[in-house]
Amino acid sequence: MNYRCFVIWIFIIGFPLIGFGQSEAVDEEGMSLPEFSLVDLEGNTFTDEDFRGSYLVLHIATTWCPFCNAEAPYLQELAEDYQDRNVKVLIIDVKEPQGLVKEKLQDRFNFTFPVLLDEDGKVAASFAPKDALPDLARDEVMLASNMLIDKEGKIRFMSLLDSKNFDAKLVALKAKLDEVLEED
Amino acid sequence: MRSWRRISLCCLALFLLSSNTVQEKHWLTFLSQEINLNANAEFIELVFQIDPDMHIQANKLTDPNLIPTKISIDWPAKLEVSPPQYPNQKIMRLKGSEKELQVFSGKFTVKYPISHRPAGVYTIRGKMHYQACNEYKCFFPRTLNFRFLLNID
Repeated sequence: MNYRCFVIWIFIIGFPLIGFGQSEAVDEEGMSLPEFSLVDLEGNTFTDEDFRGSYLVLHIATTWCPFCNAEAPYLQELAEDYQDRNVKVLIIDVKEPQGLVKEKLQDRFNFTFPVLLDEDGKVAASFAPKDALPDLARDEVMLASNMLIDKEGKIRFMSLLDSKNFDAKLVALKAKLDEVLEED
Repeated sequence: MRSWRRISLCCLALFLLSSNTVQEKHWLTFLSQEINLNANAEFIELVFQIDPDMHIQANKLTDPNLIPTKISIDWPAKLEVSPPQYPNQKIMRLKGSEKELQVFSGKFTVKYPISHRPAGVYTIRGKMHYQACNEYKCFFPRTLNFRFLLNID
């Protein structure tokens, strides 16, 4: 009898958990900046609310990602070029410890913008568009992607969907950013 | 009672499998499940096949941030095996960037020099730690566990 109860409990508890770790996907139409609260390399907490009212260029990275490393200097350049136009830049590093990220990203590229630590990948996963690369974990889908988020928190550009070719110099993103700033 | 025990264990196994499958997708296959060596053979050759349009970082990299491919094998104590010889790296240039990467792609062979080879049949286990990318995306590092049968005449 105990074993029957055990099996029933496995079904009751187990099946809802099968999808755990593949967080809610953002609808492709009208995607918004998901809620988050993450800590940067100095221990300061940042939330999505801190970026409302500004344009946000967001890059999801890891230290070992060659695309992210190639793009890093151009991301810093973009931050400097657009800093007077109400544009903020942010990196969310996925599933890596603070020391490693500081050494391999911050100390190497001297970013003047925050690098936040998404230690369990849940925030990165929450950006993943529905049905994109369904055979991958949701946090993996977002690696090396770029996003442009407007002042109202709407995602206006996502390189995962719009760019099949690597764009280290962020040409497409900057073109969209200029377009969005023109609208303003 | 025993059948319920079996069912419960199966359910548990299925649950664990289902919740982890997504992370376990691999981008390469180990092809040398059985290797036959004669007494004069100098190398044990392990062949791997990387999926089309994918590449993995090579074993030696110029960028210290990247993760090199590394194979570790539990060799039986009876065999004398030297460190592996990896194939020539391919150079890949990232589109829209001057950055060059050292990678492996397609089918590649890793050779292990063997100097002492007593006859016998050995079951050998190994692991390859690698980090894969395609032309526009990179994936979390993975460890491929593999096993092969080594027959020495």
